[in-house]
Amino acid sequence: MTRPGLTACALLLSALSAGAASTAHADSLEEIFARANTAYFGGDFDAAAESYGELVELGVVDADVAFNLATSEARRGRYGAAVQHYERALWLRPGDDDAAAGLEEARGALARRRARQQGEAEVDSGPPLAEAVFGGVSRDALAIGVVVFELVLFGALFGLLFVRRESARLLLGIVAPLSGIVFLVCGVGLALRSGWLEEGPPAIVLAEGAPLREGPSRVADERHRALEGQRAWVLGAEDGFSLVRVPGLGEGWIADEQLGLVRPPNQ
Amino acid sequence: MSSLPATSTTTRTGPPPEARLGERARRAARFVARLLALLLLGSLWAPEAGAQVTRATLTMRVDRTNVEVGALFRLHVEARVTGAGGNAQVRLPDLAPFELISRSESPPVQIMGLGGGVRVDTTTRYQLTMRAPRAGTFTLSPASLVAGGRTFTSEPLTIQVGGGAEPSGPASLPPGNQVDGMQFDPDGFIRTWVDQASPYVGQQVTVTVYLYSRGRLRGTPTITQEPTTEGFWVQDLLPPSRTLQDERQTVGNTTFNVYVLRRFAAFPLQPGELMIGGTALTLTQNALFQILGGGGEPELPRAGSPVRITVRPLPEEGRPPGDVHVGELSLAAELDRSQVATGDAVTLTVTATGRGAMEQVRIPPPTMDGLRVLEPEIRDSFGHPDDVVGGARVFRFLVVAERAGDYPLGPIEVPVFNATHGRYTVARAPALTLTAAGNAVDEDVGGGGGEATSANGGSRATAPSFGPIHTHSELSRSHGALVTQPWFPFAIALGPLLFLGGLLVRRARQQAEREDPSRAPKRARKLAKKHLAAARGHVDADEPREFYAAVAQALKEALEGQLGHPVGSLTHPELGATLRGRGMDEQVVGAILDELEGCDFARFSAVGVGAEEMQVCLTRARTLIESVARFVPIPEDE
Repeated sequence: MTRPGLTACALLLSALSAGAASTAHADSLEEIFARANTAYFGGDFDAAAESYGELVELGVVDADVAFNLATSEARRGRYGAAVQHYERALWLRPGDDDAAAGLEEARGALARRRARQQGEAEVDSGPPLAEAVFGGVSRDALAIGVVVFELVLFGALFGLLFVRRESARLLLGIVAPLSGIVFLVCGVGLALRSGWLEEGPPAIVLAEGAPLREGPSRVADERHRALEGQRAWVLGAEDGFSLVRVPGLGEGWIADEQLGLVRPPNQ
Repeated sequence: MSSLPATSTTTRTGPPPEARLGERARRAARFVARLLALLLLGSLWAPEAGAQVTRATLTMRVDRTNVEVGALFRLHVEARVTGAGGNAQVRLPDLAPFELISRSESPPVQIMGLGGGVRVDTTTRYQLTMRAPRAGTFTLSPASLVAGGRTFTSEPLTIQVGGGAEPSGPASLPPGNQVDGMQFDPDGFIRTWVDQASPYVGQQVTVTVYLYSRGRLRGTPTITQEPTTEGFWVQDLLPPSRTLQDERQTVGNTTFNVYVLRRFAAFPLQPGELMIGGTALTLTQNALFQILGGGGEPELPRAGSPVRITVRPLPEEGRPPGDVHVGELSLAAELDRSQVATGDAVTLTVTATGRGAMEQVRIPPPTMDGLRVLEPEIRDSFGHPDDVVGGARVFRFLVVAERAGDYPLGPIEVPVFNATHGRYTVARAPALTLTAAGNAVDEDVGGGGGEATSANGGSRATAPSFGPIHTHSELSRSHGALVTQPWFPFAIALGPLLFLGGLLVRRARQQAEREDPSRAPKRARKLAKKHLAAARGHVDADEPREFYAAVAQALKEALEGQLGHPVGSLTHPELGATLRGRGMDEQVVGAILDELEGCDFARFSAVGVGAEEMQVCLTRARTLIESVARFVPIPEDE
């Protein structure tokens, strides 16, 4: 057989084997989820976290998966990752009591561990402004409020342009500012919940003492060291590093594997 | 002297005319006397003549000639004799092909003749309740009546029996000629009606106890004896407190007020002959009824007759093992979690829904090595729509997985017998699988990178608690928030665009008015006409305050259109000065000001203003507006 023929056969065989392999591993999402649950119940939290992570990589954006992943990470002692995914679960399903309780528990565990190791500890336990004010309201509800009250506001203004009856003008004059206020509140809430007023996507530091460097390189000088579970805002990304700003510390480049985005990508 | 020939005459001699008349009278008197004597003798013979049977009728009828096997039907025999009723004897037909369930006989009713004579009419009635045990065509022989030495017979009757037993509908009053196990009493009686004469064990039998009363009841009758239901499981179908409502029904020739005293579902618990005992009560007739001679005593005790029911056992052929539910049944089962840590508990919920004696339904706890199943918590919700007992029974089992593994639970099955079709089926809830994994749940954190636990377990006291995880998930791939939808920005822009469009329209309109000065007055006249039309409407509706407001507005619109600026903020003197300054005729100015002042005054003291006055005002306003329309104002800067 000529060389091209051998090459073609090799390629064909590899394609077939890859196909077979991919077929053999192409479990359905339900199967992966069930496997992850079984691993969790069996005490194999590593396998459970891996399977839940696989679902996330396959594009599953679900509050229950995020919650289970966070719980598995917490069982593994990886509280930073747990905080990241609990916050994601809350972002996907505002007001989720289980996720809120898990988040508080994870932060508390972080603090206790750090206190044992360092004598004292301080953990960022306060929720961001958006969560504090609008935590129980979904983005969709705020979006609907924005659209509806904006239409009411401009509709009232439109009416004031043409209506001549005093009583009608009086009514429109009351409706317009009230609807304007509600429109503004919903707009601010939507902006906060969507992160439009943030300097960047929120993230959580996953490793204790993760270095913040001068540049996107492992050899760059360290500026600061971030704590596990600390909140950060991603300002940019380059070469496997993300430029972040950590409140109380400053800015710096951190390796992507030491940082976890709260919101799923492209959301 | 000469001689004439001789003639002869005959003369009769007798009594004189007066004497003849007297003789005739005497003859007539004698005739009348004899006649009277004969009549007197005849009246003396009357009793003897009345003692003989002059007429008799015998009727035999059934309520239906086509019946199903096992169904009940009624035979009614009535004998009416005029004469020696007391000696009449009724022979009932041969009832051999049928089973006699009950028999009742009304006492003979005698009616005495008037006018001094004695004439007796006697009516005797028999009611027989029977059942056809097998299919076929059967002939009832004629009934016979022997009275006064003569025999009277009825016509024979043919009964067609076929098919299976069908229960009679309980929804309405049974026909008047169906009387079950009772003693007919024209003043009132109790009737116990059963819709199934031969049910299966566990099949619902609806029992209704009726009270037939000649008069309206005064208050609720006192039931001194409830119907006995030994051998049945019973459920009432009527609310505990209710008002007795009556219906009218004629039984024979008597109309009664019929009340439902009791209605209940009885489920026989064993085969064989069972009895629904008779009900006894004391009823009080309506006082008015008594005044009108309705008869009867103020208080009447009444007792119903028991009804026999033949309960059939369930067929052995094809009978599944276990307790069989008679009626309808469906099962559903679910686990609150399908995966659980070993030692954790899950809830298995089994819901049984159907008809029949649902309270007798039992679901045994599933048994399996490695599972501990506790006795269930049972919740019932029963009802009886259309008098058929049914509902749902929910069993909640607590299941504890004591060992890791996969546990198939079920399928859960209950055998069911459908009495209507006479068939067995099995109600089934599909099997479920419970997966238990790992050791018993540990509160401590495990795995690498976790916190260290001290030897004395000091950290155990503060060990965090995470979980349990969620075993259900929609596994959605996208979180399509509204904000991310492509149409959202357009929805946001819609409001400002609308307002902007309104601004542009208004600007264009103003621009057009500046370019064409006649536009404003035309529009103003149009508006003024609109206000006048509204004022006319207020006249029709007799709303003087609104009327004068509309007239004033119409005048102001017209003035604004001609002057080119609003006049609403001007006082009347200022308006008058403005109009004079713009060249309006003094008379017209005065008329306009008078009208506006009149409108203002009338608006706030419009009591007693009539339609005619308003109409006159409207006419004046119209004239003024036409004057204003003809007015050409001097430009302001002049």
